[in-house]
Amino acid sequence: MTFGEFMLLVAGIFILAWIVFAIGHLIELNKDPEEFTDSHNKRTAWAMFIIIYVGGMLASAYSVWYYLERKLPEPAAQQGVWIQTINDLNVLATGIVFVITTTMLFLYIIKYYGRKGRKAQYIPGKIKVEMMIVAGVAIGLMILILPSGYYWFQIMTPAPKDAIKVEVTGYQFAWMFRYPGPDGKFGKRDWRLINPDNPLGIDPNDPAGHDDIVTTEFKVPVGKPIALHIRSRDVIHSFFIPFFRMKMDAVPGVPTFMWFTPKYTTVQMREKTGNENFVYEVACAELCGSGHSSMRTTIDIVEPQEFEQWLNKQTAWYETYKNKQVIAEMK
Amino acid sequence: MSEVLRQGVNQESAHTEGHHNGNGLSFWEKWHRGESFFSKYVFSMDHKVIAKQFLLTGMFWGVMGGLLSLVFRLQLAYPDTPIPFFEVILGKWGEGGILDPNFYNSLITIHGTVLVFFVLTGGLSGTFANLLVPLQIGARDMASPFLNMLSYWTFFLASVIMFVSIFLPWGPAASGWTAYPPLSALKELPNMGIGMDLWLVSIVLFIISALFGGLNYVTTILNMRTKGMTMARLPLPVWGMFIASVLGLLSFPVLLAAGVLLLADRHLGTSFYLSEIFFNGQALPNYGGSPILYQHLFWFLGHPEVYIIIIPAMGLVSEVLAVNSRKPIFGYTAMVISMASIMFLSFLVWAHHMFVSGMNPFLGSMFMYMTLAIAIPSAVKVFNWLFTIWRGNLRLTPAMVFALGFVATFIIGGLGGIFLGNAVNDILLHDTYFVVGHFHVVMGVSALLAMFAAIYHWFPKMFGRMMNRTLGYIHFLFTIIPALLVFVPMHHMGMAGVPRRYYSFQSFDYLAQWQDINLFITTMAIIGFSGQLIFFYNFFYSIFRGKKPSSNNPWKATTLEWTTEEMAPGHGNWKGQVPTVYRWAYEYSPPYLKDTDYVPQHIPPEQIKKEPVKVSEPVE
Repeated sequence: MTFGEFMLLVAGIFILAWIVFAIGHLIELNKDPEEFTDSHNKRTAWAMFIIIYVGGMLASAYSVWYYLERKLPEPAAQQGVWIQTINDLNVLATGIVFVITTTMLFLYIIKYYGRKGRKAQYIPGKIKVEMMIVAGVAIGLMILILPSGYYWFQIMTPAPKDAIKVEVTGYQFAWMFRYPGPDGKFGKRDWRLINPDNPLGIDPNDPAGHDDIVTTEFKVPVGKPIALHIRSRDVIHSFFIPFFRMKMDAVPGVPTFMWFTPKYTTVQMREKTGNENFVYEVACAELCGSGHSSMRTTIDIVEPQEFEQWLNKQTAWYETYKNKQVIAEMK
Repeated sequence: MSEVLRQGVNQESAHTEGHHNGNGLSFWEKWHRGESFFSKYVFSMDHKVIAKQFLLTGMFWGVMGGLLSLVFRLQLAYPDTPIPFFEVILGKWGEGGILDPNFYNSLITIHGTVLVFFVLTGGLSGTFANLLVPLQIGARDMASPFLNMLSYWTFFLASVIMFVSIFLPWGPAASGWTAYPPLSALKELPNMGIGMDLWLVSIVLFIISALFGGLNYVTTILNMRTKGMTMARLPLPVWGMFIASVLGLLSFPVLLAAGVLLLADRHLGTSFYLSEIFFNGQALPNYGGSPILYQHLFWFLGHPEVYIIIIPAMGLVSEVLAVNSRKPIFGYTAMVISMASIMFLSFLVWAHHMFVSGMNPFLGSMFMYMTLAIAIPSAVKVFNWLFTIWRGNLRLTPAMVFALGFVATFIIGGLGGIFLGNAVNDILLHDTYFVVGHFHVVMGVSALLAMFAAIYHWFPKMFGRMMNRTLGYIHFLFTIIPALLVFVPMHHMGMAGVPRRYYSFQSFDYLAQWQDINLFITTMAIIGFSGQLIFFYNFFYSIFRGKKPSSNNPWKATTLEWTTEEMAPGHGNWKGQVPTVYRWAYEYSPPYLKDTDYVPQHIPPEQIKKEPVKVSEPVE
């Protein structure tokens, strides 16, 4: 739909609304606003039932179908599988409660709409009923929440010792990555040392940092735990990997952590989704300024040997930094 | 004390009716007697006038906030098409028909702020607490009418400052309504300069206004109830206002502190929230602060804030449902206890907004349990509403229809909360469209439906006329259908990982498929907004031309506000004695009545036994 057509559609609906409105206004002019006849109540009740309840349930069903066509592919990390399971469990549980309570509400409307000569039943409440509601909801929630309490600590525990460490740094409006190099240790960082040659502010005097690899490419092997050390250089960002169902904020001054075990390589995922251009996209999920919606990066998940080859090809950050310093001094 | 007031103000209140020899008085004398135009309608100390002032200001901001949302909805529907009229209405922010991304952020910020604070807090509880608290408890006015006036005018000043900030060339605040630092603390960022300062000042003033109001409501409810009006006989709207006011008094000051500290970080070089920031090509000297501290302070108010909005709404809806079901509210005590427990629990759940902020996971799990515990009192309320209409005799007035709509949307919104309160699920859903859909359904749509229900219900009390009924039903359909069609699909978008506050979906392959739903949502938003024009027409037309109700009590309700015909500005509320209360507020359809189906609170028991109360019996 072009913008012009869209505006025409809106104008059409608008005019329609005003015609309905004018009719409605005229209808009411000769009526007593305090009189609610049986037929009036009946009409209103059934209109609510059909338009809001039946229409709403059909629309909800359509909405669910529409979502199933567009939902994310199967979670590509073990932690994501847990999160998706909890999500689906919640959909099921709340779906049942939604249908029951909403059906009750609208059935009562069509059953008990006001009629002359009928009298409402005087029921000020029963303590037993209230206790049953409390107990029922409490038990239901406890069952619903038990697996979450378990999985929460599975996901949020410190990463296993043998995990591959990667440091993620967010800044307006992109992401940067650092691998610890052969010694497995990140060099110290200080934001006051940041300059164009040293975008992460790695301390050049810390030998642990000399073999660190700084890159804008994010590649990790499949099937191994990956531990992310997440940091930010300016404002709060959030490292959101929708295909893993995971995210963690990047907060300046407060390092955060997240770990996951990828299940499928990018190539495998292309086969699974049938999309030959598939990439693991990473989005920023915390408002960070004008470029928030384009703060995109990708994760390339590869076979372990390919990852080793790639890592070995990278030059350490310190090499380029040192050379540049030498050139600067010569000038 | 209340005895003295009840007797003492009697004589004084006579002047509101008589204007006895008020013509020869000087301006200031008239002012003091509350008889000049300014002291009557502008700087009024009368709670009924202040209620209308809050309502009109809230309606103004509702329109403003709605229009802002239409602008950014159009942007989301047509991210790649230049829309020429953006340049017409937005000037340099819409140059060539392309919306400036910073201004997009400003739009969502101002939209969120004004709707949460100015419409749903100021407009909803400001209006109905002012209108109903003195009238339903049988008081001549608020405990401190002057503080009450100050509360409105502080709110007005906050409104003016916010309004001015929107039109400044430096741009309005663009940090989201949550204003997380460092984004909101770096004043060199575009749209984060003077606009952000004004935003903070406006919020600080708003908090002061809310505190003035809250102090007054609590004091009035505790001290100025009429004879026989025990706490256990209070109508539920008053309970709602009372609990929400206590909640506000305890939590708003924390946001005040957060705002003042943020101002200090911006201008005084402090480092409460800032640490290790490299920005604009240079390292900032700040060290040792924590942005997480702000989030704790903000959400310590921010979460109770949604209950400050929804608890009065619950109270109002309970009243409308009971009156129009002709049936006592089911489980009055349970309703009060559940509201009080929501209040108590709401202090213990704030960090569920911060599950993925890097907070200690142990804290996260505690907050998850506390958050889901809130579902228990909420479920009690929902079932009590359902059991209230069960076996009732539903008179489907427009107000009743809106109240039933509230219950329906509150169920949807409440169930959405189960997802977000679950820490594990929140790892996926945090800061996605699911959150947007959820809070719009539960504290946007349902609170608005409650507000409309209350307006339709108490309109005869406020303006002495009735609103057009058919237009009320049309308004209802044009509100709830578009609202659900806008916000329910957003839940699905969130589950599919669509992040919120995105200027466009074009940078990501996995978001491209949601473009058509964006167009649909925008269409529905425009329809929903245009539906509100019907309401505005009905509202203003009915103030002047609406039909007059046949009696003081058009809905045949039991509460005290319907016992007086006094509506002119001025303290007093009742011409003679303030009625004495003999029973609770929900004596509908008791089995011992024959001709009629309700017993107002002020009818002495001996009168009922002799003969049942007549419907339109004049009071006293």
